[in-house]
Amino acid sequence: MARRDKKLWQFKVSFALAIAMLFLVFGYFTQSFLEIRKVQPVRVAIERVTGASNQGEIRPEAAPSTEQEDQELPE
Amino acid sequence: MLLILIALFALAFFGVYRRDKLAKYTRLVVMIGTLVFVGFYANASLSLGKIAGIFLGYIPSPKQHPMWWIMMVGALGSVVVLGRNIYCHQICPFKVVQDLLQKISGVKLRIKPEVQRKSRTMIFFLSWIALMLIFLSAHPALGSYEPFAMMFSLEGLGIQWYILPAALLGALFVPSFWCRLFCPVGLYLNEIVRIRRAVRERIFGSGKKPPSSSDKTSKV
Repeated sequence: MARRDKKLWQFKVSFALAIAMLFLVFGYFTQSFLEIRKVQPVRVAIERVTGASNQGEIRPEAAPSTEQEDQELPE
Repeated sequence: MLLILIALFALAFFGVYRRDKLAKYTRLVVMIGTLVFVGFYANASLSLGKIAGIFLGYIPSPKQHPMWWIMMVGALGSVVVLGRNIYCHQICPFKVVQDLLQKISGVKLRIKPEVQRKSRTMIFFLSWIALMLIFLSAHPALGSYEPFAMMFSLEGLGIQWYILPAALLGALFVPSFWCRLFCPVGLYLNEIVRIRRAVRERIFGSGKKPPSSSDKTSKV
């Protein structure tokens, strides 16, 4: 019985360590995602997705053109 | 310097295939060599970012980055040609750090087998997110969540500074904490070994003799 309790305690600690690490890795991904939001193709994709969700449905011909935005942005 | 890396791979091969006392010393030399040379000196450990970089076309010329080529050919070659993951067990400097921490603490906490099994799926999921981030940003460092590079260069951004101590803390209590639960490189190399074995078995057969009729009768 004592051996089983010892095992259980070990499982709990190792699991807690794994979960803590998992949160940190997801935190890193969030940080990276916030970084790549500045990248032009990702920014445009996010704009389109949010635009589509706001309008309900988006038609390709009704989608906002990004060519103008590309031209406005500095090199 | 390149000769040192080639020698380390050669010694690692030797250490894997031999079981005598000399092999034991060889493994010790490889362990120290990888920690000092591959880890602290060259900081050339394999990471998800480097593997994703290949798909992004970041393949350096052998003249400019011969170390990259030796690492890739050594790690992937051992897996594809020999069917053994020599990189993870012998060359990876972070594994050496984890083993050292384990020796220092002497604590060996167990992981629930169920968690260990599910970690495989979790690593695939994590590496999928990481690869998406890398391919969208075209910047391999953004998705590479491993603490290897940071461990040996002590250069990191934001949360990376928390991932490294957490990985080291985990390794202090759980043997090969990072390798078993989070390492995508190790999982991919092991998967290639598994696929290679399956392909080989399909082509050449399992190599096991089918039970003969005399065996069956003797059992009965």
